[in-house]
Amino acid sequence: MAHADALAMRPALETAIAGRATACFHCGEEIPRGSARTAIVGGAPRPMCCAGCQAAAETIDRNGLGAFYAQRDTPGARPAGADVDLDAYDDPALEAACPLGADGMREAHLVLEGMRCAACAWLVEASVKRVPGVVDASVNLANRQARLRFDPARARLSEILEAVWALGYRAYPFDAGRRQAGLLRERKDALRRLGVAGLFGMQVMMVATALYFDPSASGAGRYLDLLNWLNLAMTLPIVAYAAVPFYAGAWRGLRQGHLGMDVPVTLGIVLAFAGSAWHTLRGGDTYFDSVAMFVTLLLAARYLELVMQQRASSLLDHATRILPAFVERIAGGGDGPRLQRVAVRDVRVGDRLLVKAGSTLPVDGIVRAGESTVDESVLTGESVPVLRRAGDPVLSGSVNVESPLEIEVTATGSGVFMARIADLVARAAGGKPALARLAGRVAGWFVAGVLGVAVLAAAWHGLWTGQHWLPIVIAVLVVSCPCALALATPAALTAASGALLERGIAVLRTGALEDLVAVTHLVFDKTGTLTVGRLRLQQVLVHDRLDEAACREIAAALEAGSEHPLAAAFVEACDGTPRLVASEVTNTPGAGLEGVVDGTRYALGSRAFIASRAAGLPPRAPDDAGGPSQEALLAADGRVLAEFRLRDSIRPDAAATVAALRDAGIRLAIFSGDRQAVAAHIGGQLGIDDVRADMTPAEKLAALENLQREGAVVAVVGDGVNDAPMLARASIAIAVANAAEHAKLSADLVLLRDEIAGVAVACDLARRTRRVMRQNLWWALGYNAIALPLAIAGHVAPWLAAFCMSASSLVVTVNAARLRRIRHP
Amino acid sequence: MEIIWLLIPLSIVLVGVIAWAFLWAVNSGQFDDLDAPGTAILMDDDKPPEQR
Repeated sequence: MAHADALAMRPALETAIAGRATACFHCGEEIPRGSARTAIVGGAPRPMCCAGCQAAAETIDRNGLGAFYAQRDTPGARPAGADVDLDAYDDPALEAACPLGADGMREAHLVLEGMRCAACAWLVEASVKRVPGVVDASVNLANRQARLRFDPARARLSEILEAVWALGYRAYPFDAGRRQAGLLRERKDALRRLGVAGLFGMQVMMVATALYFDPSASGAGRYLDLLNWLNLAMTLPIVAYAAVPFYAGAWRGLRQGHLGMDVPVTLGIVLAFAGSAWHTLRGGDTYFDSVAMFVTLLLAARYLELVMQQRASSLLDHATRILPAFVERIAGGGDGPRLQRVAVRDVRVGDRLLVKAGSTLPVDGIVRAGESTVDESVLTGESVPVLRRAGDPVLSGSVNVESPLEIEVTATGSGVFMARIADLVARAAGGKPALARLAGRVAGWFVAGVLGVAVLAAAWHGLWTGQHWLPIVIAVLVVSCPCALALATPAALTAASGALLERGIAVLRTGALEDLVAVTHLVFDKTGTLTVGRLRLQQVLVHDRLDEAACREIAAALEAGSEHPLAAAFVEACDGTPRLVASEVTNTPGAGLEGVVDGTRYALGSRAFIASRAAGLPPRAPDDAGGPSQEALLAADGRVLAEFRLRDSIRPDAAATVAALRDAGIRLAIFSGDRQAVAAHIGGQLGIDDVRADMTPAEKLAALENLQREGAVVAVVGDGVNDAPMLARASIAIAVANAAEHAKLSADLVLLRDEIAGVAVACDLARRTRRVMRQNLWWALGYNAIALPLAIAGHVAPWLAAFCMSASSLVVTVNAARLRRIRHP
Repeated sequence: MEIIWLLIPLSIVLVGVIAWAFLWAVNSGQFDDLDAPGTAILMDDDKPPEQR
């Protein structure tokens, strides 16, 4: 038994959940009225909203993991059914992704979705470890991934995945390929260098403090050499190891012919170190402390920037998740046709494949037998599935909705429609307009200026004042040293990316925030971007004895076994679990279905389908204010019972987002692949005038290029493959949460939550970031304007220069940190 | 002040040891996730699964 006292939830969460009397104990969502579902957790019945939460809570309690409820600080994930066939992961062909270790154990990497707090991470880890045969498992909360090792003789991958799915989290194996390993290596390398610089830097500073007070005055002059040699030794690891990336960066920049930040940084480090080493040997001032402080601060800034960027991009790793790619090939042997399970890459043009209802087409083909509707929304944006029968072409990436199809393969591999779009994406990306960056513009001139001033100062002192030139050059380089300038923009961008990530917006390209300020036009895709992307039951017109709820229940029962988007809408309208069961269901693709519920034979389908089965069909009533809709009719015993209206509704936050963007002075447009009537209606609702419909991916790209030729800086918000070329070409590409993986990979910003408000948040924050960057640059330049003349005149000791530079960097960093505070709209 | 001849080599050795420990920690993945392990320690996962 789990301890009841361990179940006292954290106070904040407890009040948040208890505030609503009818909140689910597991996921915190509201419980549908009339539901009395409970689960025993910690010895007491707890209210549950759905069967999924109930099962998850009972699994957690049964396994003695009830501590999860005491430690979590966000509600649990609401379970959903597995959307892939987990058993397929046991196929030997996928085992290559789980390499066999020397000890006979397999290693697998999982991406986890739905994990929100440390308690979730612990729960997943603890329950995976309880699967017999799992040797080791570790869950990383920061990037939502798990690494596990298991004994292939005792555990199957599908069992482990099921254990995670049962808790309400979604887990997919992914190919922890080179990219992953590369990112981790890069991060570890940066951390090692930063750590070494910090450790040795502390020693150098300690000794240097002693040297600041004239040692010879206190009679400790004989230790001067010793201390200098000690500092030389301690600075050596910093210069020879920690600072190497700066040398590499400077060399790369010089070879490509531009003067980056790394050039004066490198010069400063090398000159200061060489000069100090010379003085150690021959006597004189040393500046090892300046070198150490300088390198450590710069490395710290760069490390933070790297971590932030990697955290944002690693959340997208499910784009590389492995999906089982198998098809059923119809092999005509001597003993008649039979089905073979083959990998997609082994399919040849001319093969016959059987595509089951609900599966995605992996290749292009022509239908040879069967009749079904096919959902092409990913490719075309068309929200309604289209009917395909023998002789019609079908495209890869579309989903077979209703019944099995036999297709003849016409293209595979790089020849398929999807691959041709990818090709279009690649070419569009090449023409992406580059926007000039504020920091880049300033930095080049600044660096050249500083170097020039340093040389002039050295020459002037060498020729006229007879003062030693080296300390002056070093002071000029260190004082001016672009530290504050170098930090000015990255610090602001890093703080802004972090703030955005907390609001569920991943910034994949650091420069994207700067570009976002310059945007003049914003183009939306319609389906799945401005709209939810799912059909919803909007209206029920009852024509006979049965009331609305009864008609809904019957429709849901009939549709319960179907993959059609309409079916999902009906099932959702009944709280996800139909209470009636239909039998003898028969399906007429593209028309409707028939079945027996409670002894009565019902038909549900299109107007034409019902017209042949019922008399006295009422004429179609005009649509309500919600716009054009899809229609389905329910009939029994020759009479029409009800008319259902279904529609893909506008996202709840779309209107506010569009208004905020328009207030910011951005011109908005909709480019849609859907029908004119639907697109125009959505545009009218949101007040967007520029609505273009019936567009192919190539037409969208052409329209975008037209805008760009007129001088517009265009951002695109999209979700599908059909707008991927447009996303690739846009100055800023924003992909929504449920976007196709393709679209996410070519995006600059990805909205991680299923809402569109992030677009306005990102635009607002980009503007504030720009403001902070301006302030920072002015500060850095102003500081230099005062400090440089003093340094040239020889009034600034190197240690004072290092101190001023650090203080200046601190001001810039603190100013940038203000961006982390987000204004909630 | 002769103590400095002992303290300086000692500090060098100490820095070396700390640097080695730090590099070991980075290489063995101690810094890979700084969020989850902190709370994982608070969980009792030593309760046996309930027998049914």
